[in-house]
Amino acid sequence: MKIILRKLIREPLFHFLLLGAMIFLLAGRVRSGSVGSGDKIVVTQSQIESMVVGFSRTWMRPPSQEELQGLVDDFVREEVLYREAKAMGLDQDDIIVRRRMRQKFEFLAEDQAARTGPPTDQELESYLRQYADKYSEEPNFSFDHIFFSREMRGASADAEANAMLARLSGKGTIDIAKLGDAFLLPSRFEKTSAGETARLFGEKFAEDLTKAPLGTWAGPIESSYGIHLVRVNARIPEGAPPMAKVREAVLRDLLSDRRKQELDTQYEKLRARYMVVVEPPEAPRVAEAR
Amino acid sequence: MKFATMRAKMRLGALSLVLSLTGYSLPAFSQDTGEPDKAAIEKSFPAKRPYSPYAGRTFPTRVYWGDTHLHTDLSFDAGAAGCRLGPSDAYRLAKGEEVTASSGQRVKLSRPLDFLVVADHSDNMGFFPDFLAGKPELLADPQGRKWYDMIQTGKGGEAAWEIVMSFSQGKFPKALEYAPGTSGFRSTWKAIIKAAEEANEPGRFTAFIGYEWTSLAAGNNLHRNVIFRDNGDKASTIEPYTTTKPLGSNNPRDLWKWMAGYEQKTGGNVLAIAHNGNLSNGTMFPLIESFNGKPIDREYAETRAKWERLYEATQMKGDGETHPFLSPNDEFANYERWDKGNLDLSEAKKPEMLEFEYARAALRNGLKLEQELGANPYKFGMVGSTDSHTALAAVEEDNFFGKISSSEPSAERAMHPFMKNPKLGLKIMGWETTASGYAGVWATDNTREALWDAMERKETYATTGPRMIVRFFGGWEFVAADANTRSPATVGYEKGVPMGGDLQQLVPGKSPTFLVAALKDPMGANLDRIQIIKGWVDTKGETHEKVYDVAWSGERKPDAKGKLPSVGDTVDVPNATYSNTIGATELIKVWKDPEFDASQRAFYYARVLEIPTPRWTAYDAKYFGIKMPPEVPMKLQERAYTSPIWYTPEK
Repeated sequence: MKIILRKLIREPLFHFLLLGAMIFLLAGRVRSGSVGSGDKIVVTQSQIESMVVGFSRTWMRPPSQEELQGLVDDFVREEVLYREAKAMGLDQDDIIVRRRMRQKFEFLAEDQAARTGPPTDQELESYLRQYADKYSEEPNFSFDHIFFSREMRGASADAEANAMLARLSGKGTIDIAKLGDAFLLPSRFEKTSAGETARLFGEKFAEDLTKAPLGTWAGPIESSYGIHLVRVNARIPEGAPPMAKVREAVLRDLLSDRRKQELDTQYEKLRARYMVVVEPPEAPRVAEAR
Repeated sequence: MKFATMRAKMRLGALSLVLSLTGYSLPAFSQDTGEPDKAAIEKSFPAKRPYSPYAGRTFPTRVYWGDTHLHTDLSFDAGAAGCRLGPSDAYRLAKGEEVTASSGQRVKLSRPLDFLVVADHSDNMGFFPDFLAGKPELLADPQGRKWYDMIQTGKGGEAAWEIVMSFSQGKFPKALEYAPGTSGFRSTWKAIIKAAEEANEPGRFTAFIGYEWTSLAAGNNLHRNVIFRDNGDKASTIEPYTTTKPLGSNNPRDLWKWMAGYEQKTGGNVLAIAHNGNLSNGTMFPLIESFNGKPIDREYAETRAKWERLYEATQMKGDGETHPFLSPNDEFANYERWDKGNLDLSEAKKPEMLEFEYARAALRNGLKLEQELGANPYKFGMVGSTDSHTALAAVEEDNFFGKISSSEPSAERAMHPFMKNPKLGLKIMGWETTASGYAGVWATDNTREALWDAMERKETYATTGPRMIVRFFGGWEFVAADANTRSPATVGYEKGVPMGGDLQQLVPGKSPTFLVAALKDPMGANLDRIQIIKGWVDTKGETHEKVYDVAWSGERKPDAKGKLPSVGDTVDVPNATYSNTIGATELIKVWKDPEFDASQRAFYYARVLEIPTPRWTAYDAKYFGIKMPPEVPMKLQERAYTSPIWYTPEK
């Protein structure tokens, strides 16, 4: 949607229609049926210029005299038909026209928001504080694990894992690369976020990992695949990042919030001028999901 | 240049590794570095790994999940069918955020994806948002006006159908076209690049720049998804290649030329993934080129193999692994088949077309062509993707957001025809749409470069939606005990080549061995079995295939004919549930080809089956409280297909 809006703003045709609408308003509302007696259509120098620019952009060259005449004629034709169509009320209940008018209005409101100038550092800081959750980094872990397959070991899996834990807690070095059962995920994870861990091993495993002691073997804890002895080597808790790291995102979100707010306040003001009556439908037509 | 060097390096690396492991002496061959010295080479490969099992480890340790084929409102047919979400919405959903679908329903993935390729149609790219915004040039055309009015009066689905139809038949109004060089096309491409650059977070989420080259010759789907390794600085120097003459072409040979031109011009890298060929009516994997009527030649074979590294083996418009007609002895071949006609149903399917549009048959014909021409055009790796036209890569059975926006969840969608051609009496119903699939990529990091390189070397696999982890290695030295080592992948890389790789026999008299392993989706169903599918070509040039059950859950025993009993079924259709009381969480096995003939070219790939689970139609029936007609399948066995490993005899 944003892409369309941005394109629309750049669109010469859009400027054109805007101009057309202004001319129409300025030209007044006096209408009469006789030839050449009533409304005036003036094609200004600057309008012609913008036609030339528009043409050049499409064709990569300026228009010839003939082509320019064609553009002007077409402009006049459009202007005449536009005025007549409007007089006949053809713009009413037309979805395109309604949507365009709404869009234009919203552009104006957004412009209003942009005019308040860039946010100050203070405003950014307080925005970051207010929405700290949104920017905070997930906790992450570095850990080793040893897998015990319930399918392979059956009921003795837990006892065997516990026995292994006792050995690991004892003296001497043990090559952990040879312990446990074959497993397709790596046996060591570095700086892996809680979400990622949950996606790989299941929610409960990630949760248990946050509670496991640091630097020693613990467990067994359960994953989607079986049970694991784990050793958490490092754990970085959740925290709000410094402004320097997220400034761009904060700025973008704050500006976007401002635009939305401006639109809403404007709308609320305007909305208050109306009394809205929604007629009840004859029979309930809203499908209900079970 | 970089490209060529990289490939050469990879090949050399794999070769040296094999050599050092087998202790085989290096044949004399001349190269730029002079005559190689055996001792020196051996020295550069230490005999023993470092004490730390993690040191020096550069192989991919995790699989990244993504979709290589997603459409947004910038695709003209998607827009026509009601899609109102653009690329940035697509990225938000893929990253795990909740978004509001075009139908107004809230949607979120069960877990984020790791990467996404927004691949909008090349032709008329960006047409639809402008059309919908009522851009006067577009409404000035009578046909444009007619479509516009249809959409405004709620006949979006029909308009979409007509638009696709007119385009696929080459009858799309010229005045409406968004073609390279027009400002509309240009600014759309820029917008696509911008959205990708904004969403791309190296290390966390990869947003590839890409598009879909939308070749349709008389309704036969020959689409290719084009994926850039590069950032916007390079990709923005070109505009996507289209199919309308004179700027574009429907012939893939011209696309390959365009791709070569891009690499030459920018020094960048690009690859293509051929679209599921099941709607190509026998033209995706030809033996005779449909464009000139001539047999495939060596140049075609080499060029195609160079650019089309991967194949989309499964997606929403049906599964493309194989067909019961082609694989009568494969009891799982009849899975989510779409075999009524081509993309727009303008031509009905004939059985003789099937051979030239399914992955397995193409792999077989590739061997045959290689035997004849010296090059294999169909040497591709496998991925699955969505081809969703909703900007939503949502293909889990219980979270299926449909093929087009008008088929987002509703009580009616299953029974609404997706496409029809009354003249030929053909109809594809909404319920036939497949909730499939994703691409698994074994890469060293989550970046455009690392993922792209993995795609280039075909270390990928396809799934129909679940995220099971699958490893597949081929070599000559695997032994049963390798399946019991704590880290099968380490052994796999040490003794063999991963999926997508090549085997050459260096010690005569040996049969190839394979280490294959699968771990269930942590949030999904248990596994039924792993199969290895072998295809080969004999001396007469005839091709063959065979499916081997390799590893399975429980204590099942194959019967006298070698058929493994079914895993069972826990699906409760009315409640759309199942239980993991059957099947296995993990399956690992070493398998040796029992019928190996060293003189015959062959390929091997693994297929992993889940236990039966409810199909999306069952979830729909339960949620909306509707009854599906008896012909609607309500359960399925989801699966994964790995890239093959090829065996090529010497000389």
